[in-house]
Amino acid sequence: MLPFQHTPSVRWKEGCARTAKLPTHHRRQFLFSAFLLLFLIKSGSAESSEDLFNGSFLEELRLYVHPDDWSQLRIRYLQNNWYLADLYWRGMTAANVGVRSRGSGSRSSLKPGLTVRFNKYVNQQFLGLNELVLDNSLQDPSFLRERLSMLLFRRMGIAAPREAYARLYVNDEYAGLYSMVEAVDSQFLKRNLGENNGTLHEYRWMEPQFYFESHGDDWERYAKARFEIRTSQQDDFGLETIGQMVRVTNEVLDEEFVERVSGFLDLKQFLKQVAVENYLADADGLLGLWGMNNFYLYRFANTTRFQFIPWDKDVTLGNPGQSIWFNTDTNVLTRRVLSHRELQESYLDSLQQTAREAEGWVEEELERAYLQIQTAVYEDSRKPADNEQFERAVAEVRNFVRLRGAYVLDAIERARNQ
Amino acid sequence: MRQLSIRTFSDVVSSEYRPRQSRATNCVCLFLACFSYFPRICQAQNAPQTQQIANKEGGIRWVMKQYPSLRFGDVLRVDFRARFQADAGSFSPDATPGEPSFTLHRARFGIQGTFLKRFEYEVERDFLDTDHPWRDVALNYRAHRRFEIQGGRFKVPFGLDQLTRITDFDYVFRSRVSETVAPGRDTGLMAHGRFFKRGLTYQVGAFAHDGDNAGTGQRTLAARFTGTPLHLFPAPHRLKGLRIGFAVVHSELPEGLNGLRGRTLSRDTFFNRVFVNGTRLRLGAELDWSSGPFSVKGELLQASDTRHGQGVRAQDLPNLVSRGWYLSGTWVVTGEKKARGLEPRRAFLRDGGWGAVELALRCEELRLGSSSHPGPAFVHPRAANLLGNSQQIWTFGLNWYLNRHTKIQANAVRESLEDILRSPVPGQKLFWGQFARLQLAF
Repeated sequence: MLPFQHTPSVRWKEGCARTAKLPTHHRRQFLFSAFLLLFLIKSGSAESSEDLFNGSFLEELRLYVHPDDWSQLRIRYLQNNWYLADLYWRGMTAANVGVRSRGSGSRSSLKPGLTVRFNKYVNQQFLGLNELVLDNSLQDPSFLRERLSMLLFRRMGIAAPREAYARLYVNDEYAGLYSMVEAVDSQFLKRNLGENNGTLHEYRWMEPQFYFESHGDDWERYAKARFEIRTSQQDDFGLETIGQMVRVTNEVLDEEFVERVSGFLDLKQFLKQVAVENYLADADGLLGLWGMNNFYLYRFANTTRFQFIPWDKDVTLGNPGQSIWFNTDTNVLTRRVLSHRELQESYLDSLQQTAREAEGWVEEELERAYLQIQTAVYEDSRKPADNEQFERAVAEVRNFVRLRGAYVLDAIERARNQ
Repeated sequence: MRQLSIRTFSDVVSSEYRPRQSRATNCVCLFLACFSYFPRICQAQNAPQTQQIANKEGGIRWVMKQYPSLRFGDVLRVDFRARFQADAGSFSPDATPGEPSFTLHRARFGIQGTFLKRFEYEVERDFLDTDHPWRDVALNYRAHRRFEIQGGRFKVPFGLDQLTRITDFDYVFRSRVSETVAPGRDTGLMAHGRFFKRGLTYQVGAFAHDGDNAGTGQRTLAARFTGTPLHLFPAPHRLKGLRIGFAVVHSELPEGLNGLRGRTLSRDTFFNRVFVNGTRLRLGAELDWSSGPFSVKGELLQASDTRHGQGVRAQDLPNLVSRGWYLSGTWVVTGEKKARGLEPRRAFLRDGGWGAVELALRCEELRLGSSSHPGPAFVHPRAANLLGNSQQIWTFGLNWYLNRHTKIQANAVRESLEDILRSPVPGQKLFWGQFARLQLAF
């Protein structure tokens, strides 16, 4: 010890003595500052899922998987095999989590999309989340479509997953830019719908394409694989009720339609979702080119009421001139709903509101996101497109955002004048 | 083959307990025929009667004593051996309902003998085991009783239970710890010998792999020592035959999903293989005592598999430890001596006898898990803290030795598992099994 150095305890005592000698108001200021500092330190370290999906920063995630497991995951990327992993974010660790390859059309060996399940092996949550999806943006070379779409859904008051960008490092090697997507699970339901004790179904696309047409008595066989139950309890009542909803939608007389179908769906809420999807020119959603796709369906507890929840919006923001009535006639539900004047008006209102909300705001979000990710995308050697294609895709999205609002508003006016 | 007959050329059951219904039906007839006629043939031609094929002085002789034997003077001796076992049994509750309850389980034929006095050999094949049809294929050279060399395929010297011939076994099943931890057969070279009239024996060998039971390890070194230490001290005469032994086996363990796994009697897995890398070290201690109609056997076995670089960050993980024990006691109710194989005083349906009847009881436990417990325990082959699982088994046995060659065994088994989620019937902790075996061996 140096001759003039005090031991910590001596310094602490001297500090206390000096504080005690301060005038009262100085002492109060000192104590207030100390508490404020403590509060800031505490609040700074207590991250939440809001921080994870804040989106103001490009986040950094570090995933540690045994090298053999990582190569197995990449070799068997078409299988849903789980592997053990540790996840690090802002100095916080989620140890012993499960990770697997995910996606349908976006599965990749080079840059696998990933599902991280925090409670796969150990009963735990991370930032209050059970699961986190790491989207590889394989079908969206701009990396922008999914994020901007979900932002718009939420801005329009529709329950949709939160998203943020992250550089993903696997075993300390840069694995590329990913979108962190909030999983639609019990935590999501509680936060967005205020309950989670109903039944959640994930729609699985398969042949033949589904346009909400009735399959009569064959419904159960038809629906079981499509409407996969994602809540823990196996609920045949949920499937049965979906069958009833489809049957009523197809079979009920026009006069009774609104009343009967309203028993299953909040039709105005549903039309708002359709409006946002159509504003986004979604080619693979409720009214997609290949039938219905990319949604969850939640049945509220002890009721027959359902709500659609959007998912996977990476085939949006494409054609700025896509009709606002795109595929509304092909799908039985939208055809019958929109055949009612009042509901059609509600749809146009929602579309108009979407266009107004999007105006300027989406462009700002686009530029902010672009600046945030540009370097990370350039450094991402595993992305599906090269840098030039990335820039071209961003330019396409920019073009869509610039033109879409005017086109939609014009189409609404024309529709109202007819 | 005196030395070999006690341990080194002994038998093992490592084959799957699986149905062979199609063969079974055909073989049952053969089995029953053998069961009915063979003992009579052997007993009718009891020693010292021999049937000479050639002249007595060094020619070829066909001898029918305990088993058929062909002798070419003093140059070569060929003993013909056969073993059949037919099993019936069921579990309650049954995890695999619909499987046939009666199967011809083993049909082994082999030859063994000596040539040029100092060489001993054995070749045996199981015609029902497709995984490991060749059982013992070995050659032994006896330089001296204190030093012999054995090469070929035979049992790695580890585990009293595992080294006991299945036909000499007191129960239908071996102990689970023996099946799990002991290596079983492999190809190798072994030096062995005995001192002080078997007061001290040793077996030291090197093997290509670590046995059929584990089937995952590589080069293996094994050593086993047994002795009767109470011979050296003043102790009651009955206790002087107490034999204790220690064994150690060291194997290289390739990286992969190669850890030992725990299986129930019904061959369902209650502890899956985990990722390991490095070495496998087995340690064993055993005791064996018999006096008159009573016998006691027990073992404590452990295998420790290292898991170098198997964590998610390629860090070392705590070892996988598989540890277990059993204690078994038998009582020959009809009073025959248990030591050196039980032979009824008066065979069934001959001399007005009923054969010999023996009661047996065994309790055992096997546990697999981590050697230390960092963090939460869970089920995953890369978990630092492996969620352990264990099984406890009580076996109640009744053995009826009809004659020297034929035995009928009946076992009642109570098996319980610690983790009911990894039970053959999820949620079910306790299982009962009842088994019967009909055995013919010569």
